[in-house]
Amino acid sequence: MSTAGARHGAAIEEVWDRVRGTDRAVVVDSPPGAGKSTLVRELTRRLVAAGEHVPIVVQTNDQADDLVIALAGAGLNTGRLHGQEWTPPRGWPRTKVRTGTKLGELGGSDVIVGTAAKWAYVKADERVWPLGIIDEAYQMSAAALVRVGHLFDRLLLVGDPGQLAPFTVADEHSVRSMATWPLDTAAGTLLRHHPQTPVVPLPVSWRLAPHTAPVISDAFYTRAFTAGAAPQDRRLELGSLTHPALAHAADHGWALLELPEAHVPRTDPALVATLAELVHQLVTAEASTVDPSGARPLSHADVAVGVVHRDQKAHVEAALQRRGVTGVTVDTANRLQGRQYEVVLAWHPLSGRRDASAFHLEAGRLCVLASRHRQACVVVTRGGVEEQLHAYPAAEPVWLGTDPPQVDGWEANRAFLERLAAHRVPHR
Amino acid sequence: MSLDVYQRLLALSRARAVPAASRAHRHLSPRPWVLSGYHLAGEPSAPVAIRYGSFRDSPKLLTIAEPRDRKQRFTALGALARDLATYLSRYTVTEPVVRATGNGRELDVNHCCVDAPQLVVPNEATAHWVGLLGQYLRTLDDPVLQQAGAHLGWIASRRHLPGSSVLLTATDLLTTHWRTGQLPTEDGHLGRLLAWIEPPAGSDAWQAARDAEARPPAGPASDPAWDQVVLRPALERAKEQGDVRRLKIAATEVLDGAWRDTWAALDLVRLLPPGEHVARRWESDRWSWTRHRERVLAGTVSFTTRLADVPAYRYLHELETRTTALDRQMALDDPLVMARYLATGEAVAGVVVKRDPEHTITNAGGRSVLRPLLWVRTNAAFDRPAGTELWLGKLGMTVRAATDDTVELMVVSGAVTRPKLNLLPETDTEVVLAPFGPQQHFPDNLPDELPWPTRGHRRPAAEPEQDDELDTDVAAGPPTATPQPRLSGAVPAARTAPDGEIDAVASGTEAAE
Repeated sequence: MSTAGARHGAAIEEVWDRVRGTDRAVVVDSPPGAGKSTLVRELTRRLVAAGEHVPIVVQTNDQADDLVIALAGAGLNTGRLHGQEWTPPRGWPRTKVRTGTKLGELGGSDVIVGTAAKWAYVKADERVWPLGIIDEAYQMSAAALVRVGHLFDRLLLVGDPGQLAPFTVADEHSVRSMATWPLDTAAGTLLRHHPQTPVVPLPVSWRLAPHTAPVISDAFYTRAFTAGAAPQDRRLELGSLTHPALAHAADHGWALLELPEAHVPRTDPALVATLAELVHQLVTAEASTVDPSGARPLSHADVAVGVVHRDQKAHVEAALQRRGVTGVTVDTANRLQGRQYEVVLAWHPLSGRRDASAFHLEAGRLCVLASRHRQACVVVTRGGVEEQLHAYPAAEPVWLGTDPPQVDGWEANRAFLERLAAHRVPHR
Repeated sequence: MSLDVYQRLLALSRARAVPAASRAHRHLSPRPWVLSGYHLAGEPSAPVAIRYGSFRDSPKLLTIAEPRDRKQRFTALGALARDLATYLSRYTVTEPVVRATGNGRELDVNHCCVDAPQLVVPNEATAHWVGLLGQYLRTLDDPVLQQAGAHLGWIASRRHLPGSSVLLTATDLLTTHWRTGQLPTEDGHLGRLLAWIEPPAGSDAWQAARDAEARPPAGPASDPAWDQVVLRPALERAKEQGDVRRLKIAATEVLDGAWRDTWAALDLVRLLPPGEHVARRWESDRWSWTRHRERVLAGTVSFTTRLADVPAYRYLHELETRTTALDRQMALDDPLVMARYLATGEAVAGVVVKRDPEHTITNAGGRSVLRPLLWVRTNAAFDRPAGTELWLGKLGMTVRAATDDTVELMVVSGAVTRPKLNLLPETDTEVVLAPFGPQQHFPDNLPDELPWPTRGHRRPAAEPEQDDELDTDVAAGPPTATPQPRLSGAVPAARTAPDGEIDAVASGTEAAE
């Protein structure tokens, strides 16, 4: 077993010991692709083997579906607690799984998986589970934790601290005036109120490659991590001639494609067209992805476009449909959290903007976009982002009663851009 | 394309504001209480002059010769407190409201005030000042001043709730309904804003705005030059000789502009027909007023400056619910607001050119189900992807395909059974397909106290009897045995049920993100 594997294994055993110990809560900090899902699956398996019933809280329906499929695949009797409008996704297991909108419909399941929003409405009749698992605990807000916390006597929170902070549609200033900050992360609020809670970091990212992991670790994380893969393990091979940005990214893991500097509307048509063109070239380039399990052709499902706003998503999706490309994921950073692809094309949050607002500077947003890939990531942007950053130094107020973000968004953006400077590819 | 940007550019090129709404989106009381005033420079707690009342032609004027003298200050504010009490006493009549409880099997009667007070001030700074005045008054021993403070506190707390019309600022009223060609920060100046909307004959908006800036400010901060040249001698004379005439004349003159401008703003918005949902949002204000009054009468009203614990979470839930509801209601009420969504491509306008009501698909269970198709001809190409969800009232549909001038839609809810097929729009009907479905209403389902992960080991200090700190109107009802209607969301659910705006609460709701 490699040293990375040994460190990872040791971290998992530490979590297991903690879970079997006396701590009321345990937090696991997991960088992108550090085997968080495997950890949840493995611990659930051990808990069930020990005769426990395990409730698991996730944040989105996609996450719940993915987890149920994985747990059922591991042979666990799993219940999927869902809302009225839920329909099973493709590949839904035929055995080992029960589904229902009420707890009573899931009788006999050893594991129950549901979204936080669904658990908040569960009529548990005063039932309290000895241990609950919360997945994506940095994506979940304190407001969501407040609504489910009473269901569990102890908690295991697993999450990626580099993800996006919870957000609200309400005017944030009205909420900021309060002594309690309901939009804190679930993990953050637990650590604030129970500072003695042990935090176990997972030290190895299995998703990111050796040449991409350090950039993410340096720019976005306070606890450093390394890549688990060896440098020669992975390769992206492009069959035909493609855009220099794709070729560069295939070789180096990163490419920063810069369009001419301009102040443009949010749905920058040139950026939309560029992204659509890159995707089109990528899926028609007879590309193959190589890793220790062997080589296989790059499929549409291996490619994702990460954007910042929903209207950008709509425009890129429509542009792809016009080119006849389907099956490629296009989504906002919010919804890409926790997902993994071979190649990701990212719309830089500050591209073409006049200002650098807190929303667009948020470290988590860029981090999510830049850490979804196993092989390569192409960041597409208008030029001039660096100057824009320097014109808008971070000016976020410090709010009473809340902890400042662990990583400063402005500095994270600057550091990321600096590391990517070597991978700059000018627009043709 | 953002319609907002276009309208601002249009206003700029015409040198005149352009309408941003064709309906009034705030409730306008037939008898509002208007207030404008000045405090001493740098001392918000020291009011110098306040003009107030609900009669445009006979405002009351309060002047304080030495506002730093607490005795003088509070004697004068006592007069304002009594006048406020007189005004508020008009809003004590209640009517019984019957609503179903317990799955509709039982009827519950509650009493709600038939109307509620409305305070109108020139600008945001004055609205903030009103809250401050309320805070000062609440700290006093005098019960009349204390009660006035409690009322002002309730009024000021409603300002932060989207859709509430209890405390209106003239600048917010105007910027909600018009777009100017100046900077948004410049819109905070009531005189400038009015100059853009109605420049005097013969002058353009820029000239009119400059003229407006030369006039006395709307307060509560005064013009330093006026302080020096007019106010100081007037105050000295009042203090030394006990003669307040000069002070009164000076105050009347300087506060007159803001007074008239505030009424002018009300007049302008009153010309617009009210939006359909405005009365319902006002109903939520009426319920809040009713319960605030009950608390004042019972002596259980309490305020704290910063929300904490469960009330903080409850407040966030109410803000979120109200923000979404207001956006949706304004767009559905007002074609000019909906046009913003058309401009961004989130909504689609067009004519139904073809229908296939008999279209069926096979669902996941292998059953054949009715999913009618519609083809809508549009003026501009629809640039959203297939799969986009749109709504026509209660009809939910998804986009199947789009060409340069036609969108093909599949109806997925609202008219997917034979008896309901008549709800489909006929061919040749003009339709606007909006990104807003039926209003979602989720109860806030918060626990009575915070669960262990979100609080420390130390128990928080005993909470005030009423945890309505900012008086957010979602606090538990008055200390009576009768359960109170829940007011989160614009209006209590049961009473909006008849038109189906708020569906019965689903037992489970899935995360949106």
